[in-house]
Amino acid sequence: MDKDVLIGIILTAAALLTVITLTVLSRVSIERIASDGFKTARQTLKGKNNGK
Amino acid sequence: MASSPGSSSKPTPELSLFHVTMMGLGMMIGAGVFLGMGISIGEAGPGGVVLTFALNGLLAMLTALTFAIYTVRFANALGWPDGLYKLFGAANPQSVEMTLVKIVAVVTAITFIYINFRGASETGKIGAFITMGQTLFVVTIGVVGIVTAIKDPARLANFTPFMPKGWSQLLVTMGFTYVAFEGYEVIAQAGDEAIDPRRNLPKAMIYSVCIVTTIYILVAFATVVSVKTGTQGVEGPAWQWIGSFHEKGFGEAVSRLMPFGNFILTLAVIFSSTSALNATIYSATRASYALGRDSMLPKFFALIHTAKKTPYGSLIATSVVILIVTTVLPTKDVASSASIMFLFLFFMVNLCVIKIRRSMADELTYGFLMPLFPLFPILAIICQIVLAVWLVHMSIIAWIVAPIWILIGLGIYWFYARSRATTTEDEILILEEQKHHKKPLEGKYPIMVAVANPANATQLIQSTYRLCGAKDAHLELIHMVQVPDQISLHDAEKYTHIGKEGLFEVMLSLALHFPISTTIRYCRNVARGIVSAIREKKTKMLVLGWHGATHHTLFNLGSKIDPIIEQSPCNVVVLKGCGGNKVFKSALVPIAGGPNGALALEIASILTAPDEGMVTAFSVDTGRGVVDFDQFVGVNSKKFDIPRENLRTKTVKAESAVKAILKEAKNHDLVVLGTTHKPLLAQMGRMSLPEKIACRSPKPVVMVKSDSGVRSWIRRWI
Repeated sequence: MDKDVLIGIILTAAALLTVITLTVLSRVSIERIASDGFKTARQTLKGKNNGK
Repeated sequence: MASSPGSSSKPTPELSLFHVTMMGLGMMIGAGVFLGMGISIGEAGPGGVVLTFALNGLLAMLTALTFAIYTVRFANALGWPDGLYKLFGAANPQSVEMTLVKIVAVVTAITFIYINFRGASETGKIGAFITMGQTLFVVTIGVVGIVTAIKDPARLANFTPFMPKGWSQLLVTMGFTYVAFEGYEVIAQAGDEAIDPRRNLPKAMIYSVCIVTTIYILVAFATVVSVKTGTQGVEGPAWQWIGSFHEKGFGEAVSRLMPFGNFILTLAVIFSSTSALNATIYSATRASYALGRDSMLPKFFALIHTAKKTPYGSLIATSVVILIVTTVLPTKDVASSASIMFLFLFFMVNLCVIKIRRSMADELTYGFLMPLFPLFPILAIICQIVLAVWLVHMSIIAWIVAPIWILIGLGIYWFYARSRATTTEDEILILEEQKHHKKPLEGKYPIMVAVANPANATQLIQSTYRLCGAKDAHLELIHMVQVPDQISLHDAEKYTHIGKEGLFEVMLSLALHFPISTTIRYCRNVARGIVSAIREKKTKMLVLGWHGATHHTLFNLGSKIDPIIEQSPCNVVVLKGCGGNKVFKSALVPIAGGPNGALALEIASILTAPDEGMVTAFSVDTGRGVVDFDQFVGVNSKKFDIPRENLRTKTVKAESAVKAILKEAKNHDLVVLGTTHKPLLAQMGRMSLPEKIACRSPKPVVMVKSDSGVRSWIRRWI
């Protein structure tokens, strides 16, 4: 297979996969925050670092 | 029938997640992709066009994540030029059908203005219906393309050569087609009318970008495989043949792909243009309504219709602008500047998200917290600058029209809105400001002292006296009024008496020695108010007191002191237990080698007794590597002019640095510590070493943070 085609396929797939992954992760984050209650950035980060 | 503007008059929430997602999709799927596809294939080649839409989708997602954080708080009024581009972009102003086109445009605009007047529900439902139609069309094209490629795999050869004009063309086509990803920001305008907006608006933005990216990649693929090389009329490579039709290339390709291709495409263009117009009217109306509500535009813009619950004042104004532009202005030139204004808008949003997260992280509650912050906004800013700069090569007029438009907006803000804007609960009010000196302050070192109450003031006087004397300072005393959330900010003045007493205490002791100014301010968040005053007064050093005890799980030193230390653009000196007439004969300065350590040495030398004071620079060897202690002390003693006879060094070996320092502290009158220079994220998990010592030390403690400018900011935040 042509080198350019291979790079193109990899880049396209990677970009699409990243977009979909960010969508899924963001959805999970939005739902979790909505159910746990809205918090400030410090509260959220502190909670994460404390493993809560 | 109409109600006057007021807080009780609000649009009703009627738009679901589906409606707002469709609104975003409706703005995006349109002329940008239909006209851009053919030109992009001609420029970037068959592989380049697919890659163009994939990478643009990724870039759009980065900004969508930023937008998603503040969807409910932000509004913009730049939506309508994009809708015009989608509606009239294909029209040739020179053609004989121009008059007919304009009549159709005006009739269409009036129809959708009326639909918008009927209410958000009607707007959302009709918009969703139209968007469903156009989405169905483009998905059909994509699916037929895939089926065709499966049936006739030989068509995949159309992808060779992949990028016939080279990879650099990718930037050209990305800039050209970025307009096809602009539109999801219209969702932000639906904050007042969306059901559960804090949950649904960010989701709708991210969903719409994900859906549209997938669809565009599918359609680009289908376009490339739609033509079979060697068939009737197709001479040379397929990409060249499609590209030769320029903006009509997509239509020609689709007509080869399926029967009635051109007819279906025409329907898709009509659907996309009308849905874009619908969303555009909605967006512009809500943006100007929000500005009218906040008194940044005349109150006419904030009028809400009693029965329909729609902002009819801003709708009338929007309609006038749209109808004038439709009939009078050359839409091609207006549309060409839309891309730059969108890039400017996205650029500003990305900058704002960084700024707001930094200054209001303890006040705003987030419906969505961006991962790897601030990586995505910075990446998006860089990409948007590259694309905007490239647009100079595409249209010079755009780079003239867009800045003029933006300057008009700034002019309205500067000469009309700024003085009239409604004060919000987040703002900082100056309640009282006085100068108690007559001498010029040129060359004086500006020191700000934050006074909370009379007790706190007496803690600060002696140390402030020494600092001011050593620095030949001008003193700015500030008291931020703490008013409970449930009390109106207009009642803040009632809470100033404690602060006035505190300021009086300090003035009584220091006014004879140093030029003093005082300021009493109100802000819901004391830390943000003090940081804002530091910037305004160009203060070089902030002095504040700390009671010492902390039981807060979120903060290391306290909910006020932590943000002040993190955000202050100046040196910060925090005093604990330094009140009364204490004489500090010996000061302990634990050194780790950072910029804060150097400042700690300087402050220690100032605060100890001038003649008999001794500063001990202390280092603990825990076996994990030690800084070049002697060199550090030598360099800084010269820098700060500390007499060597008043400075000694000491190094001990110990397993626990905290225990060793606390043990050594018992032999001294004062401990002066530099705050940690670890990134803020690392500090969130557990208390750092200086904070531990400051909390546990039985002796008076001074914590210092040095201002190292941009380098310090980057290290702390990234």
